[in-house]
Amino acid sequence: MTSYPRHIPTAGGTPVHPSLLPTVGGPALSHYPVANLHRQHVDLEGPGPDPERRILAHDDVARWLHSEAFVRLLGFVQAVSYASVGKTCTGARSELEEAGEEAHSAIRALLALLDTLDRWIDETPPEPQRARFGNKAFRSWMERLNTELPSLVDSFPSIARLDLIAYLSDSFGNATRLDYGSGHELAFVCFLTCLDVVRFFADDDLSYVAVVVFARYLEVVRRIQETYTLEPAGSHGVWGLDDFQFVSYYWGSAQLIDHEHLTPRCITKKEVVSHFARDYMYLACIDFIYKMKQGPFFEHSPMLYDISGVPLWSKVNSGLLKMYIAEVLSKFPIVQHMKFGELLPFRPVDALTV
Amino acid sequence: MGTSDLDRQIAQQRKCELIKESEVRELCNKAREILIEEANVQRVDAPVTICGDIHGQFYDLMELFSVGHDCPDTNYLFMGDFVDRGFYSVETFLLLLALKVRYPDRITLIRGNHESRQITQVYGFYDECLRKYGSVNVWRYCCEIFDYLALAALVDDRILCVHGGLSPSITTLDQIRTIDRKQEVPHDGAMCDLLWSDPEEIDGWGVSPRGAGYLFGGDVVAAFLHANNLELIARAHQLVMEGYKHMFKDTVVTVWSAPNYCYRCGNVAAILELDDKLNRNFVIFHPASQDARGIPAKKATPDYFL
Repeated sequence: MTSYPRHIPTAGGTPVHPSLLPTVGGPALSHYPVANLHRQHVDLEGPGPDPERRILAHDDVARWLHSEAFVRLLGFVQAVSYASVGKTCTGARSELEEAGEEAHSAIRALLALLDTLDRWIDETPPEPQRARFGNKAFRSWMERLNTELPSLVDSFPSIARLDLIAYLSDSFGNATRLDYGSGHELAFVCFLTCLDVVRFFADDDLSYVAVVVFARYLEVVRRIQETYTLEPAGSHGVWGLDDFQFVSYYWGSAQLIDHEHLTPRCITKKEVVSHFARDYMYLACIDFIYKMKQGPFFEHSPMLYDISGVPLWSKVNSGLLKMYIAEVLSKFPIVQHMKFGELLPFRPVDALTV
Repeated sequence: MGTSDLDRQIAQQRKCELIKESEVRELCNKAREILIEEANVQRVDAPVTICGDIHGQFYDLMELFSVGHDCPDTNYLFMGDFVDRGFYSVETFLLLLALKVRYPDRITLIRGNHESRQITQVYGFYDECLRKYGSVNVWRYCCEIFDYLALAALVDDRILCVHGGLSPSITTLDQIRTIDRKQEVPHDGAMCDLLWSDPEEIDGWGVSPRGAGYLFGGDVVAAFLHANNLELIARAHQLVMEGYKHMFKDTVVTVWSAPNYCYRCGNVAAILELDDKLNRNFVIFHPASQDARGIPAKKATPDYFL
């Protein structure tokens, strides 16, 4: 099995961001200096203070894009993408089973956590009610999450405790508004990044992070979205990729790179999508859209429809990363809710010694 | 442009046809002249039909006019959020603006939190203008008009209409009247709160999970209505499965006019008809049928993928 680089090496030894279109009102990201992600420089003596919001005004967005947190997040997200190329969810699951119970303990701990959260959905059925939109039983589910989080994170490195609690509590939606959006998905990705920063993942775990762990997370949040009829939080409507998810498409497209038969065009064929949904996250997301939305696909999901015209999955993959940075990570309404602690620090990346 | 020219243009717009950039500029110039004269709290006479968020759902707006009857036969008050998320924010807003210019006393448009430069650059209106016109001029003209939109409307001195809700900085209507509204929606303060706040089952004020505005409870509403001699606050801003929703013993009503929001939510939409005695009648409507909906123009592959 090929091992994938944790950091993206380029000429000169320092990774560069993909070249990006300038976002409205901001400079192109390629103008930001980037340092290599050396996790041996993460010298934590103990858990830091509670992670907190630092993006309070529009000017702070540029600081975020130039921060260590951003570099660590991007490095991890890209590394996981590389590690997912050509892997199916079902194939990876079989590999895990064959590897025996002692192997990949990090992955198993995460699956156990997600299985617990999934079970709570069964134990917290939706209320029969005439609510504004979302179901108030979701507040009970969230209350349980926040109460049990401190014990749930016992399976993970204690040095990361406060950070893991902060990110996990934001990973499943908002209890007041009864909604879920790309910001919540981002919180879960931050949770995973923190685990990587404290070296929770072994080298050979990385190829399971997306296709097993994140795929399972998606199953859980789709159930939550459906069971509690959560509102799409801050959806971009027809101008966005998906009302709820984004990283699922990015990591999902990596799985399909160099697939012999399935091209990006295949998403327009409902039967193909539903048949391969169990193997590929990208198709599982499209399958969910077919299930939940009414009308022709090109009308309700024009971005995904347009992307189906891209010839290669590798182009879809690289394009989605650029789009994620420009349309999600650079947008104040989403990232204003992000929290920063010791593991994803708001410090400028220049401060990082290489 | 004479009345008959404007009528011709409106007929074109009702077919969801784009008007030329030069026509947009002229329309916005005319609209500015009218809106500049309007108060922060614009007085409106009953009977009037009150509508909530549209979010660029043009064909569903046609459905709204079908169940509510056309302007100017019916007087209308739209509570903002005309743009973003849907396919047809441009056509939607410009039709409403043209109707405002043609029948200024028959239609009132107040500002929603999406009538903002910053928000429209995130949620689609900016992108839509760029794609449909090849430049950002139309977006700029519209954002200028947004700055002139009233913040609230008052029907027969008894029903306050505002997009979001109340503000801890505001206890009287006169305080709303003193705001300098001709600016981009601020990040905080009274003007921001009016467009961003939400009612919630709490006592007093709460932090809003939206990151702007506040949550406000029934006690706040009761005090405000009493202090200002009002009977109802009509607002929009939040998705409602059944199209409309009362709170706090019918002193607050949320009206939502975008059916099957995001093509997934399966909600109906509503409009609130007030007769000349301020009796309330809610009319529910569904999305326009598939054959009534136009086919959106195919867009080029996004630049990210080239």
